[in-house]
Amino acid sequence: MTPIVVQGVCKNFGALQALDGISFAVEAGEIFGLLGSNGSGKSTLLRILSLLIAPSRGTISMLGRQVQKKDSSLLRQMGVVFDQTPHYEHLTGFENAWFFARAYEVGDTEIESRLRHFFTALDLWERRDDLVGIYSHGMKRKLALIEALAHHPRVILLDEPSLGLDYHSRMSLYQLLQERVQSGSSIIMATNDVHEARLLCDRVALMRKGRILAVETPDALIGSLGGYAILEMRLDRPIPFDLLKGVPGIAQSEATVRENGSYGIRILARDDPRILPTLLAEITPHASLIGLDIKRPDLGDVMLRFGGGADAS
Amino acid sequence: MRPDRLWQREILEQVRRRRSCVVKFVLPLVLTAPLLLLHVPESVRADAFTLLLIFIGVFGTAVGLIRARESGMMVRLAVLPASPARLTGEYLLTHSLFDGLQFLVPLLLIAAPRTRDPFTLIVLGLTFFMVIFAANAIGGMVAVAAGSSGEGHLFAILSVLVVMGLSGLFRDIEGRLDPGIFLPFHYFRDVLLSSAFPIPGIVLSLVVVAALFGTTLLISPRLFRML
Repeated sequence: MTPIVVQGVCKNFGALQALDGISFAVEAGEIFGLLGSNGSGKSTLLRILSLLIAPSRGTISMLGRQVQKKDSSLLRQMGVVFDQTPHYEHLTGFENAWFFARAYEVGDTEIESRLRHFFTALDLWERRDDLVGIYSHGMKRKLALIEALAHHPRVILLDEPSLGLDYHSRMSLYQLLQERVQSGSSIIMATNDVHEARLLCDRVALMRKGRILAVETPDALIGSLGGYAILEMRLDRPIPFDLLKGVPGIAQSEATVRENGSYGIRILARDDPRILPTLLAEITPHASLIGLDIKRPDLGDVMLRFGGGADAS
Repeated sequence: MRPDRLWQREILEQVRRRRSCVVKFVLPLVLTAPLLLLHVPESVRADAFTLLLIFIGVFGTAVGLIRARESGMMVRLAVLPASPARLTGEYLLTHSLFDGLQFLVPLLLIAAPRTRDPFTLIVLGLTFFMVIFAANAIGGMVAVAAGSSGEGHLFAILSVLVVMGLSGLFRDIEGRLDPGIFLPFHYFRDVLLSSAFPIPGIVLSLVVVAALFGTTLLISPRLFRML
């Protein structure tokens, strides 16, 4: 039985179509990523999957049940972290986690050991008896993750799970998620972090304007840009924003961070030796080239190509 | 104490907020002090005390729930397996209990000069808690209806005014009992004023409180909706 099957899900908010014909399935032991820019519909989809809002059309089957609003037995097997993570500020971190674990009906004896495991893994054990009111944003985020995972849910829905976490905590979180996956949980994770998606997700759905553009493994998605290369140029001054639009062979360009007095520009272009001279002919009247790196594309470039390019369709 | 249920969590949080806890227990004494110390007509004393209970119950619950919803906490609770009715019920009962405890001493100070009869005091206590339960249930309805804090305050004021009007509070400056129709507020005021407690009034008040509570629980899923 496939734990999560989404078929033709649409969601309208008045005249706005937030989701349009979303379909995918997630297997047991799989991490499925939702990758897309802001407003692409990732959070709306997660809210529908967590039974908070109903789809306008389409069906969702989860753990063999048709999803309806407020299905207690289904919610008992789900763990959810939203982008907002409010807590009871006058309770300690441990008391907060305890309350949520008990709400999911975890037995008294099990809670202690499970919470100890999660608090220790996310480096929060020594601060467990502090009031949440004095926790930092990152610590609150870790606590929300503990609250979502402590009852060992079979379906885990995460919206930007590593937002605000330091590097060490991110790695610990990835390890915890892998633990859950190895025990058969299915994870759907919305993220803007392409590196996280590549590292963690078995498959990724690229979303744009409420639609899924592609569902593939991260490697296959990157492979879809096989005929492309990334040109990272450093210039002595900025060039006009739309200068490279319409240059043959250029799929995408974006300004990057200014470094040491230079201006960066990152270009996704066809892997064709004739491109570079054409590009330089366009750029040199406006700026001088200080440096150039040529790289293979990564998942971020796939996202740019599908999500923001003029020829994204 | 480790909170297993929402009501335990609410108690724990109330106790932890020491400053707020002190204010909550001192404020009722401060507010009722003029009623106790000054020579005010007994009908005004009964009216004002009833109004105070309505006000605290409606506003306290409405504002608390709306704030929880605006912070995103209601959405978090919505993905728990517990039903909205159970969560709302636990919240209302706990806050009603706290409101009752806050006003217990002022109630005794107001009632003590009038009667020492244990049975009258029991009836008074019962009607007192019915008023608080009813006011908290109305506060819950206000929170369900309101889409923001501003709306919540407006709806709470309107609700208090309607309840006050229907209960016959402050209607008769001559001191005569003015018949109000909205139990249990009207009934509590009468008991406080005359130490008379017709049994049908208690039963009807209980029915009204149960109806208000039941309605609030029935519409409570809307409290957990996404704004």
